[in-house]
Amino acid sequence: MTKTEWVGADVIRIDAKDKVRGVLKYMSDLSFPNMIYGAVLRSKHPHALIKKINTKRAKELDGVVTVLTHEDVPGLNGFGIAIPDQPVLCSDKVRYMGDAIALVGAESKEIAERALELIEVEYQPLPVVCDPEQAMLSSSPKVHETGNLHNHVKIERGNVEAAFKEAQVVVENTYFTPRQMHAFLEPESGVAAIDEDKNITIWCGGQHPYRDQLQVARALGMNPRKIRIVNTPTGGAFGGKDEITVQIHLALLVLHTGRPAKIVLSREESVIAGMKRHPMRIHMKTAAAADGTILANEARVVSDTGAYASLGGPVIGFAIEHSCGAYRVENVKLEGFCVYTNNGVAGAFRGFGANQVTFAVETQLDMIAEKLGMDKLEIRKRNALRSGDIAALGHQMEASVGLLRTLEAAENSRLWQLKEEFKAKPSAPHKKRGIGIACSFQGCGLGKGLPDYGAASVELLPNGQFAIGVSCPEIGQGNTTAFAQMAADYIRCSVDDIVVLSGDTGHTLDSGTSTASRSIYTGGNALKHAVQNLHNAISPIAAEILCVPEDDISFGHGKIVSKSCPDKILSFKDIAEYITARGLSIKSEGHFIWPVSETELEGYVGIPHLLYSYITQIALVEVNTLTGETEVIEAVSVPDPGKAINPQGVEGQSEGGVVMGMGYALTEDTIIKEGMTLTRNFSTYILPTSLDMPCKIETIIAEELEPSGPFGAKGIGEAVCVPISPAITNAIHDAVKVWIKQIPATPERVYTALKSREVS
Amino acid sequence: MTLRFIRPETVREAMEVLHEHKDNSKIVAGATDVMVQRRSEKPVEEKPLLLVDITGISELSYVNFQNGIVRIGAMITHRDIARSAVIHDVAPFFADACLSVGSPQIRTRGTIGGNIVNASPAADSLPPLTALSARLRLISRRGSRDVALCDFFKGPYKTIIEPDEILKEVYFRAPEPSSRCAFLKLGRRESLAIARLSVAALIDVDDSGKISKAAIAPGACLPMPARIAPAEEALVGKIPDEEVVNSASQEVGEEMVRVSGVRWSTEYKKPVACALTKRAIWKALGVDVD
Repeated sequence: MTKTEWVGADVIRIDAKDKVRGVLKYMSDLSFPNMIYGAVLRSKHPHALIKKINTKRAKELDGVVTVLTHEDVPGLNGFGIAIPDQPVLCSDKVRYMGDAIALVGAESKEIAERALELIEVEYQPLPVVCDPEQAMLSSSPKVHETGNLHNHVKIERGNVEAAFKEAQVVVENTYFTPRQMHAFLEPESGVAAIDEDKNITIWCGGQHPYRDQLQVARALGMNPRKIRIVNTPTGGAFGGKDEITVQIHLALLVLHTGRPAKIVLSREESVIAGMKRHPMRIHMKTAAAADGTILANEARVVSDTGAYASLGGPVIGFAIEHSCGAYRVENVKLEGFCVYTNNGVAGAFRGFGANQVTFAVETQLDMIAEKLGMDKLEIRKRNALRSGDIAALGHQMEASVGLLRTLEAAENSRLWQLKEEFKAKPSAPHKKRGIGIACSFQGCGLGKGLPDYGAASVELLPNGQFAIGVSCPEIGQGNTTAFAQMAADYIRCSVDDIVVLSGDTGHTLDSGTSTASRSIYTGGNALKHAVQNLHNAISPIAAEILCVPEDDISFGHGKIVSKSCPDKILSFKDIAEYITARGLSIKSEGHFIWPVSETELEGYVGIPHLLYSYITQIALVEVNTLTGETEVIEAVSVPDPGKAINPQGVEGQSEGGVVMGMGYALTEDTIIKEGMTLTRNFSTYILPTSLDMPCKIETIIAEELEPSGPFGAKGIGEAVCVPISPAITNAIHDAVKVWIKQIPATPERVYTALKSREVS
Repeated sequence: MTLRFIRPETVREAMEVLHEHKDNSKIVAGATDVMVQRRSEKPVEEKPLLLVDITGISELSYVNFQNGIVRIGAMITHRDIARSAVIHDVAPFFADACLSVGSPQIRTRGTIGGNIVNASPAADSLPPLTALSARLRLISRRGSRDVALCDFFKGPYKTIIEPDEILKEVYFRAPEPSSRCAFLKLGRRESLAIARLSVAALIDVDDSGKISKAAIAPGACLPMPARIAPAEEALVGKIPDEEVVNSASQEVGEEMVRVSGVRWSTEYKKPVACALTKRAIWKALGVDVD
């Protein structure tokens, strides 16, 4: 590969200056003249039949422009990425407190909110389905007529029973994980406008503009071409804006009133109505030989998807795929259940089911290591997947496998090398220190059986610069900068001459989602093809100008040069001026389809994956034995992202991921009781603050280049937040000898565990 | 109209307004609580609420130290107290408590007067003020009255203040220069943390090494601020050692259960309240425990 000029460099984010100065306008900052404000009437019950909806009094209120109900949804009254089981506006039944029943458009936000109080809804409450285990019983009330079991995954290989018999060690435990909240700074919000020809444009944070377009078109019964979606810039998403949020409601308001409209959810409304991470109950039994080799793993995973499917089905599949960790396990018996309840809604969230099972399997591994007297890092090395190995689902690791590389780098880190020194100096006598390690892998892309493709465009602008277009939205992760860097190296021009168009169905081709750790790999590969086509279009023109044969043209450092006669040089600006003078333009497209695993698991889509990113993370914690408080003092994060297109960007992802995984391990949980959300804002939902961050997070990038990736890149957006959680809970065990089987490891839980250890 | 807002510039003006609108007004003293509360309140059409913002009254912003008495105007912010040389000198644990409030934004907006009148059982400023036996001066067009801080509260978020009254100042006698103090707080995170438990300890030791005075005031575990007499009695007259401090700390846990009853959180809060008190006492005695 030729040496890169921009890829691998810490190029400053192209949106950095505007974000730092507060100049950048997010969707909720946009306003239009004559705009109305929308507000949504949510359910008063977690589970009830709707007997009657009366909007008369609300409509009569001064300043109310429109009040809409299910009767005003022209197309399909439903949405959902996998199946459209969530009503746009409920007609006969509500299934959670966030269900939308009516939509008000008014001259002001205050009037819209007052109008909500004037809408009369008659309910017939139904028994609330809270416990996913109970929900699966035939005696349970049904959330959906089709039954409460939304998806069931079962994978068996080898013979676990025989392995359990011959094993030196068998550990068996039940784990519980919380309902983590995405907690993006910008709540679900957006604006929309409609023109005289009924073309609708929606500016709204999101993660897949073309799917938003499809879902809006389907609900409106309109041609998707008449709907333009703009998702960039999104003020944080983490999977929580993958599904429809306010897009369809905005479209209905503009369609029915002809006026621009704006909806901004309050934080409380976002907490109640928005997506969460699936809480899971994981029962796991793991066997190992005397040398630490994992012989078998049996897991039963019950996932609470709440009222609607969204991506709950694929999430449980992904969880099962990752439930044996990034390790070789020959005998597996893995079963997953995705269950409907009235507990909010759960959907995509950074990690996509890996976080929950990784917490379980990485704890199991530490327990085994302890029983065998083995080093915690050594046992992971022994079992780590290598290229060509067969993974848990029986599929071969065909792509690059970097786990060992991350483990070796972690082993050489200062924190691991000096771990006894770090542990020996707690800040007070009643505080104990411990160090924990954990690994994981993360399937990139949508997986086998789901269409996964990308497209990009490149256009030579009249000033000699290039406009590149990729529809994967910028959700804060920095992909637009990475696209610019890759495009600049493919084109052989300066990164400053790249203008990035992103996340807009009006100006970019469909490149799929900004999810699944996929946008760099997808966008990069599509750009590679687009630039090949661009070069093919420029070459004959350059040859014509320079009077040389076409195959004599080469591209380098912002110049087009004759190979045989190196003083014959053109700039891209020369080409741009030449074609502009002749009324021509050069715009090319590149298309890319994801490679998939050869293994087919009959009856399942989305698993297995072909490509994985790998990671090892280490945490140093200090546990206060008097209060049960845990502080993460330092962390080491060793991701294998393939080629790091922007190392500083990878560090940013890594540090953010560590803190998100720390919140998951120690403090965060959206508590829902009898269908009612108790933690409705950030005073009770405990996100870490800047003061709670570890004093130091060291990121060591361990690149295992992926031949099919652009410049060798894979994806790293998700893996960075996964193993840090069990690294922290394993560190708690190292410090105070209690195993954490339920996260978050709150002071109460740690304290209670400490006390029961003292008693026993 | 559901809401009206007025921002008087003098105490006299504020008292007039409150007198006139005593049945439908609410004082704003930084708005860090009022704004949160208003979001969950239903507006009443017939009786629009009048918000009386007194943060513009410069007469209420002062910290005085005269004749051994520290007087703090109600509109002094948490940030002011955390930075006050006088407070750092005479009652550093009060400065520590105010520095532990919320975030820089909240400390800059929120006032000591607002924190007292809001009467949250978890208010950070109250344990040290209780340990200092602080008193309050309330004023209205009808005159003024002084009450002891511990008599001001009727229960969580309930006080004896009348609708036409303004809290003018909180004052306390500066502790003996020989006395030592400490404030410790347990929150769910380092910043923006509502106290789950807190303890203020103010202790004086005589020349013989015996504790001559002790004030122990926990926060967030009692319905309203109070000193724990049994804990103080366990300390006074003793030379502090492990056993003395332990038994005093134990009393705090016992008192919490006596007053607040056994709740789901008691199993955790009781032993942790004892542990926190123990550390606060040792810290006040100059034994660094952190």
